[in-house]
Amino acid sequence: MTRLPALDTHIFASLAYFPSQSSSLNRGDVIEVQGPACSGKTHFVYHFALNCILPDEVVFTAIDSDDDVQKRTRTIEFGGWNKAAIVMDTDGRWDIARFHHLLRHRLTRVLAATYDADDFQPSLSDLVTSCLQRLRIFRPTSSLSLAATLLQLPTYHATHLPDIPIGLLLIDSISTFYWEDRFNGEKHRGTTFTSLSPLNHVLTSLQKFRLSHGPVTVLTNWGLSPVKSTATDPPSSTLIDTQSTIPTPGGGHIPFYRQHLNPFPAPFEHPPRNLANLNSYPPITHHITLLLTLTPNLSDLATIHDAKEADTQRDEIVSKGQILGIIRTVESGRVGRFIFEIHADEICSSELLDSG
Amino acid sequence: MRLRTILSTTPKPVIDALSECGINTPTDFLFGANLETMFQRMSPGTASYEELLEARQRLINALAADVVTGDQMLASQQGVQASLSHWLTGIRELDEILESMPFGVMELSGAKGAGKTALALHIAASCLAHDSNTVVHWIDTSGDFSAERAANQARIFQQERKLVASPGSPVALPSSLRAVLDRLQVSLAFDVEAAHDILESLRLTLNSEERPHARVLVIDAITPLLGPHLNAVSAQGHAIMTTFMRHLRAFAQTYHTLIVVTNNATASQTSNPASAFASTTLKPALGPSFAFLTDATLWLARASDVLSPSSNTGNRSAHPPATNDDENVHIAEVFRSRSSISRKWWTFQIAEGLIRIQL
Repeated sequence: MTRLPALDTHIFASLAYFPSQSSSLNRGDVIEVQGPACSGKTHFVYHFALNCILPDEVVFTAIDSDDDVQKRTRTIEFGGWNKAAIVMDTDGRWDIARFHHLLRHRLTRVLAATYDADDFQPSLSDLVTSCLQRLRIFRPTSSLSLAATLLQLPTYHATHLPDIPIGLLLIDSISTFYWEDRFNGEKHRGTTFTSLSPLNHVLTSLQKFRLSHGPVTVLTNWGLSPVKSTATDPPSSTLIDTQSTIPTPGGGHIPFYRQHLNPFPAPFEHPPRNLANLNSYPPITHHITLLLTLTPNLSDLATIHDAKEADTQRDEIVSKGQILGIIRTVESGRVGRFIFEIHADEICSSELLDSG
Repeated sequence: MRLRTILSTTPKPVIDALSECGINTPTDFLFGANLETMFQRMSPGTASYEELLEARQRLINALAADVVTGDQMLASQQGVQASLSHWLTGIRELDEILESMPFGVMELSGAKGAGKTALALHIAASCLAHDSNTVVHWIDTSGDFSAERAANQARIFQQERKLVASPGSPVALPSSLRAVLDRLQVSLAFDVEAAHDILESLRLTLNSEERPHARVLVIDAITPLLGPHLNAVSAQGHAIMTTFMRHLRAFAQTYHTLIVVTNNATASQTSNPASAFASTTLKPALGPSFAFLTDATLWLARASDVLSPSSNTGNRSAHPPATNDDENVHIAEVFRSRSSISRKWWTFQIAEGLIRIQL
């Protein structure tokens, strides 16, 4: 499960098959998360990583103070996947201190009601350490390095994590080497560009690992060029209404961004892309666009004092750290909107705005 | 990069056999034909299949990224945080951002006269005043750096620190202003290659561990280094930009340096949605990709430009300030931040080109 109830509701309504009704995500699902800079993409994937490395349940053992060492046990559910998470931190920005803070708060919140840290084992620190040991962070410095790292993953898994399945593969972000690769492509312009493209090698290596190990794959992607409105806008334009808080990057009615990466699956492009190696690439299951919710502009201000007074309502919205997500599921074509909030201690889900 | 270079321990006959089949680069070997096809193309007796397999695995190991577990990364980060010097600029909101982002790349963007250089000087001066063992490096890309202005900002900061020091904490002033300014090292770089060379030189110096720690590095401004290369025809300019910024980010992480880059402004087609103010019709230069290459973007503007809706070009003489109280006021907006809440804004004072904590 994503543990964002609004998102899980949409996914359950959007796909025909789930191996288990307790999980909205299937083995091998590929989720692309696209948005402008600082739109919450990395925090969104922190949330996925937390879910992955958290235990499903833990048996805590207490030792009474009596000499006969009578032990009490208590089982507490954390609802995690209890699997390893692999992070390809191409941006070099994975903030482990922030991630640790979120992890510790999540564990503490669950334990607070029933747990006395002084009397039970494992301790909170032991739990945090065991969770973090299931998180493995790689920092490739080029597309070739990323592709080679993906090729090496099966060997790494067998050697370093033989008893723990890899539940999640995160690439944050898949756009990091975009401009360098594109410039390299200019130097090799011709019929063999696609097969020579470093991104092609990344995608084929990713697909090999996806087929062999079946992790849920989450890719963060830059939102660079807004999709422009046309006379034949698809029904997604109905997501915008006059009172909407949905920002529209292009200034029109479409809250989405173009797929600038090439070669890369672009299931929502019209006309569809003709990719020679499409069958060798991982297919996108869900595409999520993240946007900061709109806030009222300050205008007609005579003094700074006026601006600060007018900012009260705006500041209230800003302080919530609200992010709007628009999810499109490829198989069914369903589109849904959800909101989550990034707080100091946690990432909170809000309501599903609509799904259809 | 050639295969021979990476696979230096692989037997030469194997490399020669691959080369005879046209396999000379890592991409050729890993993502060209499969191993069976390569082996069939080779002359008999030149290399065994097992040797090819071993060479391929050795290549993957050489190219693959290093890995760290989450707990190892945390321990390392906590060690860094404990040893890192933190200082106060005296501007509360800026101090909160710097506390959440003690090192990384921060962009200060805005129109001419918005206060970019002034704020960068203030950050540098406050850092130098705090720790007598630290060095601030300033890369001047336009030849406009003023030693006199830097000295005045440092003097004002020291004077005002007596006013804003935390209750109960000692105010330790450096022995002299000259001692402070000796630790502000200025270099000139008029193109990106020169900036790369300066960074490389700094790396060598810092790696020798004989010099004080480089806590802050300022590039004022980064627009002239990267802007001239950008165009809509070729991706080369953007590739240069992303490569340079990646080197900056790696520098910041390796040496725990706060890198402050000032960036000019360019016209926005509509009111800038990232700004709290409807009157903002400018945006940071260097295109939408640049926003992904920094850790935070602060947008600076004169209060007079914001408060007078028609004043969107930064032309101060055409639009006088709304009131005398706001004459010296500038506005800083957090357009984006990876480590703190975005879209907040606050005010600060600049008088005669210098940041004043208290006026």
